[in-house]
Amino acid sequence: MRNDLIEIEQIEKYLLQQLSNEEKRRFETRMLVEPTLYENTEAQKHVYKLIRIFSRRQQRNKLEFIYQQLLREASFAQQLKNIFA
Amino acid sequence: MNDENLVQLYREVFPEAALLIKRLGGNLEEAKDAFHDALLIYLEREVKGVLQIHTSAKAYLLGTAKILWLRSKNQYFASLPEDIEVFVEEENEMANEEQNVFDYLLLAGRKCLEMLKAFYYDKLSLQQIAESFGFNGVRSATVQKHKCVEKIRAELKKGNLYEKRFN
Repeated sequence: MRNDLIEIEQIEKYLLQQLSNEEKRRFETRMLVEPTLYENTEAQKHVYKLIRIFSRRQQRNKLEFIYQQLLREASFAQQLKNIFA
Repeated sequence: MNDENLVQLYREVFPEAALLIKRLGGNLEEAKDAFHDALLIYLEREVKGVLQIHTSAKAYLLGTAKILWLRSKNQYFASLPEDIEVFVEEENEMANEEQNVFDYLLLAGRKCLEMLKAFYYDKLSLQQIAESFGFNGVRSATVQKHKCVEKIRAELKKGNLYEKRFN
């Protein structure tokens, strides 16, 4: 694996808390003296957040789709109609 | 949970959730929003393996939807259960994200995004990902995943978000 991909993997382990205490300490020390590593770590944290936003949006779309499908079932639609009549 | 089970769960529980929200004074749209959020929380916890097994899915969804609806109307005064609080905090944090975040994501390509969702959100194994995305084994899926993260990260950095935020 390329070196920069190895770094991505290390950052991932740090962010997903998969490092031992010793490894974590070492990583944090490196961040103090390597501004690029710090910057990459912050950016990668942001990437994970964006992935979570994207994923939830996908899930919401899926639920909305299921809802629309279920509305085509007469008994389901009728139940809702009765409740909000 | 597979799609079939999810549809079945939806079919079975939503009318009850709707009735519950209606009795509290809500409308159909609000009932659906609260129910969808409750389902998201449920599914995320299922994936993480942190659901409490002694509660039925139905009881969990009804209870959670009720709290979420009350909270949206500022009628919930107790402290939120931990699972709901984590979700609500994340949602608030996400709402602060700039509108153009999806531009960064889309630059990585659809396949990358679907793969990243499968790994980080759906928590599929790299083996499963290799199979469903047609990679030649776990190692190649791992490399692809890192490359996708790298691509998005590079775009974010190009957008100067970090200079602005941290310098």
